[in-house]
Amino acid sequence: MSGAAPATALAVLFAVLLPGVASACSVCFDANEETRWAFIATTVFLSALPLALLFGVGAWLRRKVLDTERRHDVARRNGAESSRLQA
Amino acid sequence: MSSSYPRSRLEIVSEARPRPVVENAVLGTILFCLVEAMLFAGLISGFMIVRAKALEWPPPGQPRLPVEATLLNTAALLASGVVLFFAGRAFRRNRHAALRPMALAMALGAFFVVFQGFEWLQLLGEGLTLTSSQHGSFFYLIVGMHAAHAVAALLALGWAWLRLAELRLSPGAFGGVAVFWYFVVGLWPVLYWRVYL
Repeated sequence: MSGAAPATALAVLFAVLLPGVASACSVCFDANEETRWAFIATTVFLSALPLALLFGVGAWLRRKVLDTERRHDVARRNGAESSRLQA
Repeated sequence: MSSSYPRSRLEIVSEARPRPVVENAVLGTILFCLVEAMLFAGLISGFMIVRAKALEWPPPGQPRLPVEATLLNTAALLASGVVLFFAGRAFRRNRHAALRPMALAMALGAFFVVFQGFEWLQLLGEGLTLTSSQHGSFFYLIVGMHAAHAVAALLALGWAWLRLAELRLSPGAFGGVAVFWYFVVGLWPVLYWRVYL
């Protein structure tokens, strides 16, 4: 078991460095600096956009639900009050 | 409910099926727009990389895009979004009052699409075609995809307007169509910035 951890660490290290050895990653290696930045920017953009959209819609829906619940509470309280007064 | 005591009118009303927090048509259209936003995000990303790789942009022999004329068209599209917003406010007060601003929003949207059609004809005449260069391919793909959405949204607005004229348009349907049009309007400045400038 004692040799398993270093071996795993070595395998992970190779896996991380392998694209560098092969120069296969367009984000990491490109002769043109502008192209490299375009790859980085679009990677960030495409990763963040769906999360931002989903969180945005989720937050909007949550606010709508809370507003509706607040309105219902007020209506329920008013209803209970009017019932009490009628009684 | 077999309780014997009399119930107030409010209690009886509260037992009715509650209205959804967001109208189904609105939520469905929002989800559709999210998916479409990712489609455009992918196209813009591809275009950005191709443009960054190019030594010269637009490529040699290819025409420059009509930036100034399209700015006017952009203003018309944004104005249609604003007019539709006021149509929505009028719709909530008095449905019939929304007819005129909705028609104006549609007219501005139609102007945008027709103007773009003329722009395309001009660019085709100058040699920018779908196969002339990567510039042309991406331009017609991205702008054409947006135009297809604009036409679809205009048809939806037309349908909503006809329903409204007969006073048969529900708030949910109006909201759904409005969300789609806002998506078309809101997306265009981003495309203009990335593709034209």
